Formats: sequence, structure tokens, C-alpha cells
Amino acid sequence: MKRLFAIIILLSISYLTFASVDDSLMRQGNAAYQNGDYDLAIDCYQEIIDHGNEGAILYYNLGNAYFKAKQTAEALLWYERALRLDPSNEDIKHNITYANLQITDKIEVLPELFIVRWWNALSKSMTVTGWAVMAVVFGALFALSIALILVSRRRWLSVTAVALAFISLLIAIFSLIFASKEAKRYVNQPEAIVMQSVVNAKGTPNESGTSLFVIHEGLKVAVTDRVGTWVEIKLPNGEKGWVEASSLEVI
Amino acid sequence: MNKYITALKIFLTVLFTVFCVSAWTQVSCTAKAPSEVGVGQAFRYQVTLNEKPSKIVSTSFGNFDVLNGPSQGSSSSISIVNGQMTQSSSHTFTYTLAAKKEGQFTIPGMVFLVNGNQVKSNSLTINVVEGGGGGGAAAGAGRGQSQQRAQASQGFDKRDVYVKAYCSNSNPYVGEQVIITHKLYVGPSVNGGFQVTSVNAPTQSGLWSYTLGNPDAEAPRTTEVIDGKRFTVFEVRRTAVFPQKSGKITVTPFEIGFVCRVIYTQQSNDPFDMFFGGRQYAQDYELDLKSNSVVLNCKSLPEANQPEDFSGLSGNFTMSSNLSRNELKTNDAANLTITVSGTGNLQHVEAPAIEFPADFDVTDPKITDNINTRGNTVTGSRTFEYIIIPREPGEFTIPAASFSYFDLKSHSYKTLTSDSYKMKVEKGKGGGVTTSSSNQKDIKFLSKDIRFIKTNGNAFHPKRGEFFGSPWFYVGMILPFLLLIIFVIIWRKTMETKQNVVLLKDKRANKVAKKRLKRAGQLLKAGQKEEFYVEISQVLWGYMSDKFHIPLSQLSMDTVEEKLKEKKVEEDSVKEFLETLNQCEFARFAPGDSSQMMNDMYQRAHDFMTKIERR
Repeated sequence: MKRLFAIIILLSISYLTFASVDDSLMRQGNAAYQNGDYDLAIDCYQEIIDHGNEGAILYYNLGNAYFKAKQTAEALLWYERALRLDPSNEDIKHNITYANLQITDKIEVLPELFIVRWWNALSKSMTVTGWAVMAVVFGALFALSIALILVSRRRWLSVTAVALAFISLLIAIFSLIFASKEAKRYVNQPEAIVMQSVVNAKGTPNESGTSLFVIHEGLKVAVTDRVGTWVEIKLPNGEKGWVEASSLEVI
Repeated sequence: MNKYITALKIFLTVLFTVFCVSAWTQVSCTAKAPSEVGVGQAFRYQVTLNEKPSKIVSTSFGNFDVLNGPSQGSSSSISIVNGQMTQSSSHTFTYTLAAKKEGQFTIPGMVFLVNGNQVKSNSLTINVVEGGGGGGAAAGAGRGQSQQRAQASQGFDKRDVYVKAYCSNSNPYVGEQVIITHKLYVGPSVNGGFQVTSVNAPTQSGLWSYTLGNPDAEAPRTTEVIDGKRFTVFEVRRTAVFPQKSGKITVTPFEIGFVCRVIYTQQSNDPFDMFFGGRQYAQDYELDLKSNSVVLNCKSLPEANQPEDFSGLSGNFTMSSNLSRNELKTNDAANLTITVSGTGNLQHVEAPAIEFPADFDVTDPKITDNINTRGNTVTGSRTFEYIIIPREPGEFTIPAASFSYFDLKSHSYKTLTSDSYKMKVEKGKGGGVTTSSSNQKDIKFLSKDIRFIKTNGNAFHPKRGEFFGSPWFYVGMILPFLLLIIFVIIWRKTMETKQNVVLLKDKRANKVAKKRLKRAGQLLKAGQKEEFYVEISQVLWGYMSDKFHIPLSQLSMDTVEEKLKEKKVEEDSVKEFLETLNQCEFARFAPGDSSQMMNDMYQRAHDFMTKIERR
């Protein structure tokens, strides 16, 4: 017990000291960006991340700095990471759209049925954590309303409680579905940005495979499989091919 | 005196004809060529004989290239005068030569074989100069002949042919139209006709020029007497020029290729020839004529009062405009035409800047020129045609177009303004659809940069593990339900104990009733009817007395209702009590199956008491 206490204190001290250093780094980075010294801004932001921090704004600013430094692929990588933390942020979406105009590949996205599109859009509107919290909150609400049904002696109270129970159960279930769907998307089928300027996608996971198509840096692909140092990628238009894992950076 | 000499000449000619026939048949062989040519310039070398040679023995053009030739030509004429036949023929051999290098070279005479005799032409000395041979070449030819044709009746005078340029105004404003006329003067010494073979108008910097007149029409011809000589004057070309800059501009002279034929009459000693005015022969002269150069002294336009939209044009203009219709529907087209007409450099009139309403789609103007250069000046019009397509309904004004120029009559700037038009646009079918989509696109493309970084807000936090799937998540998910279960269990327990109290009461009530009815039960079993009913009656009275704390002495059939009401006993219970009592009294004296009735009565009394107890 004493040991646990010591660890907690140590952690909080280190957190506090790091926090002040990182805050000044953030200010320094922002000032460098405003002065047009994008390389310095990148170094500052990157150091904050190296200290074990994350944050949508931090990633967004880093993406902007990379974009201004003409490293579009890196910029897109950090924008996508920022979007993971803040999926509904309009500025991030705008910059992703704009940065995508600068990359070489322009791939038509496969059209989806509108219900699927809405479903996916709803699923992507919150982070995994957001959905998980929502599931917990509404699960608790459901339990509470069940208890209320048991206790209530009055008619209106029990009717309200039933309705509440129904709604909160529904929300909780959907939140759970979305949370697991999003988590699965990140873990089972992670997305990646192509970081090499030109990449040949092969038909088989080795160098001697037939070249199927050529992609360029900055393109976002889905990683669907992994064999050794090779990964199978899926383009937005549905094409699949194998590339070296080193040519990609997982978001 | 002269007459006598002429008569004597004729006489002598007639006299000598007889003796001199042999002399007449003497072969003549003459070569001719320009005395001065440029290096590389093609020229003609011609040898004329009066007898047909059987062959050419030798030629020698050492320093010259033979470009063409020999081409042969022959002509013969037979004349019979008073039975006397004279035959003359000429044979020409023509070469086209070009000099290889500069210097003075002699072409030795050509040798022909005529009637078995060798005949040699005269040798010619040619001066080869650098570049074009110039006008002197033809003159040299004339000189070359002079030795043999000393007796030519009339020499060709080179000064009789010249080109002169006139300008209508040597002191114009910049952009003012100036007419330059080139006239060809041909004097009396050219008596055999002439031809202009080429007119070379060199390009000119600083001037914008138009050739006036009808190129197909014959050049107008006039006659002038200059220094006592009668000259035929031809207008070779009339040009309208517009100076583009101020200062001295020299109009480059025209170069005109000219060929003329001069007919000579040889004063021969042939009396017949003398009699008929002598032998005539033609001589062609090629001349390269060059006009004098005209110098224009151009004035720059005054800077005072120069309008801002000054077009840079001088002249005399008018402007008109026309709108095809002023009431139309969206996406319909209307035509706006603006015409600038007048005298001046119309090809330099630029499309007027009209600020059309923003929702109008306007094409670049279609330019139609109608410029007349056939007259004495450049006149005409330039038309700008705009196609206007309004995309939104409403009332619009098409502003007036303006055009500024320097008026040469009043020597001041003038600004022309067209009409402005009011246009009424109604909503047409499918209006605005195309524009709205294109507008949307424009907005999309307006974002030309990424958005700025965020400097406020909580930018970052230490990295956390994923909440979803973490122990805390499961705790959060399961805990409420655990709590619910615990709550339900507790709730159940509480409920149960509450239920137990009721049961206990029931039990007690049952016990009380059973206890009181103990004797009645025994009597029931014994079948003692009388005693049983008495017992039941007494038990009921006693129970009521005990239960509601009313002394038994105070209770009677008459008072019981009142007393029980005083004790706030429910009416139902009171009613039931009285009914049970009445039943009891009734059954006591009733005939029939007594045991069944007694059982009923027992049960009824028991139920009544239990019910009261359970309250």
C-alpha cells in the first residue's frame, strides 16, 4: 500500500513537471508556426508527443506544420490521427480535404448504399471512448429505471420509468455496437498513409509478385492483412494489393 | 538647204544601191549586256545577227555563271518597194548570266559560223559591283549601243522616268491619317510603251498603313508638262498611313521595277529607208526606280484634357449601340451591338469596357470590321457584338459604353457615349439551375489554403489507454446491474417481512376465533343443537365486547349498532355481526338438516372473527 502511494506521488510529480515543459513547447511551436518556421514548429510538436502526450489540437497543428513544410503525406497522417481523437472537427476535415487535393492519386471512392453511409457516418461521429462512455452512462440509466419500475407505486411514474428504461437500453446497445465497431476498425483493419513517393503494389506478398498498380505518397489505404514484412492494402476504390509495411505509416 | 541635202542623200542612196548590194549582205554580229551589274544579279546577254548562223563556234563566259541559254529567236522581214525586194532578218541568242565576283570583266565576243565564215561579235566590258546593279544597268545598255547607233534619232533619257512620292500632310498628329501617293512620271523619250513589273513597298516601323484604291482597276493616268516636256503621270499606289509615334518618321521609298521600250529610227544611208523615215528598231530598258523618301514630322497629342479612357486614336468617329431586346427570361440570350464608325485607324479600336451586372453571362465580343480602303481615305466601321445571357430574374441596367478619341477637326478630345439600357428579366423555365451548381463549385474552389492552427483550448494530455475494453469500462458496465440486483434482493427481503406481519395477524385471528369457538366445536360434534347456538351467540357477544372494549352489560340487540359506531367500527362489520346473530337465532328454531346448518354457522362465526382480527 505504501509502495502504491509512492508511485502515485512520483507519477503526479513527473506529470506536473512535464506538463509545464510541454506547455511552453506548445507555445513555442505555435509561435514558430506563426513566424513561418515550420521545421521548428514540427520539432516542438513532435517533442511533446515524444513525452507521451496526445491531443487532437496538437496533432492538427503538427499536421498543419508538415503541410506548410510541403510534407503532405506526414501532414495527412497527423490530420487523420487528430480526426481519430476528434471525429467531428470541421477544421480537421477541411484540411484533410484540401491536403488530399495536393496528392498525386485521386481515387474514386466506391459508392455505398445511403443507409450504410449514414450508419458509418454515425459510427464515426464519436471516438471509441466516447461511445464506451455513452454505453456506460446509459447502461446505468437503464438499471436505475428498472429499479424505479420495481419501487414505483404510482402509475405515471412507472410508465415514465418503462419508457426511460426502453430508450436507455436502446442507446446503450447501439453505443456498444458502435464502440466495438470503431475499435475493430482501428485494430482489425487499421488505416495507413502511404509515405513513400512511389509504391508498387504486388499481387503476392513478395518482391517477385506481379505489379498490380502504382500508388503515391499521401494516399490513405486500409490494411487488411499482414504476412511478414508485407501488408495487404485496400484502396478506397476496392482494389487490393501487397506492399512492404515500411512504405506505410499506420494512423 | 536641208531639203537639198536630203534629196541629194536619197539620190546618192539610189545611185549606190546597185553597187553596194554586196556591202548590204555583210554579216553583222552585235552583243549587248548591261555595263554594270551586281554580284549574283541575273542579267541578259544577247547577241544579234542578221544572218542565220549554222553553228556556235565558241563562247566564253569565264567569270560569269550561265543561268539559262542560249535561247534562240529569229525574225525576218521582207519589203518590196517598187519591185525591189529587200529582205532583212535577225537572229538572237540570249543567255542569262550572273557574275561570280566583283570586278571589271570582259566577255569576249561569241564566234559563229555563218555561210562558212567565222563571225565574231563585239566584246563587252562589264563592271561587277557589290549587291544589286541598280538603275545604271539599263542606262549602260543604252551607252553600249551608242557606238553602233550613233545615228539614233532620239536618245533615251533616263531622267524621263522617275517616281515621286507626295504626302497629304507632312505635319500630322499621332494617329492622324496621312495619304501618301506614289506617282510614276514617264517622259516623252519613252515612245514604245512601258510596264511596271513590280512594286515593292518596304515594311515601315512607326507607321500603320493601308493600301487604298481598287487593286484591279487601271491606274489613273494624267498628263503634266514639266520643263516644257510632256509627261504621262500614273498613280502607282495610294497608301493611308497612321503614325504611331511622335517625332520624325521617314517613309521608306518605294522600289518599282520598270520596263520600257524605246523605238529608234536609224538614219541609214539607205535611200529607201531614208525615204520611208529610216529603219526603226526597238530597244528595251529595264529600270529599278526608287521614289524619294517622305519625311513626316509627327506631332504628339496634347496632354491637357486627355480623358482617362483615351483610346489613342485620332480621327473623326461616331458611335451607336443597339440592344436586341430588353424584356426576356432567364437563360435567354440578347445581343448588344456597339458600332464605332468614321475615319481613322478603326482596326485599333478596342472593345469598350462595359461593366455588365454580375449575374450576366457575357461572351467576349465578336468583332466585325467593315473598312473601306477603296476611296481616298480609310473609312468604315467596327462592330462589337456581345451575347448577354441573364441567369437571375430582376431588373438590370446595362451601363453605357464610352469611347474617347482625338478629334482632328476641332483639335480636341471627344468622348462618345452609347445608350445605357434597362433590362427586365423574368424567371424562365429551369432558371438558375446551371448557375447555382457552378456557383457552388466556385465556393468550393475558393478555399485555397489549409485552416490555421489552433492556439487555444486543451491541446494535449498524457496518453491514456483505451477506455473501451479496459477493466474500468467493464466495471462501469456491470456495476449498475450489480447494484440493481442487490437492490432487488434487499427490496424482496423487506417485502417478505411486511408480508409476514399479515400472516401473523391471520394466524392470531385464527387462533382467537378457534379458541373462542372451542366449546362450540365440541357441541357441534356432540350434535347438541340448542347448546351450540347459545354458545355461538355468547361467543359472538363476548368477542365484540372484548375486541372493542365495551362492557357486556351495555351490549344488547338494540344498542349494539350505536355502540359499535361510537367505537368507529365499519358499518360492514356491524352489519355482518348483526346478520350473523340473526342467522344464529333463526337457525336455532329452524327445522330440517340441523348438522349442515350448524357447520355453516360455525364457519360463519369463525370467518367473521378472523376478518375483524385481521384488520
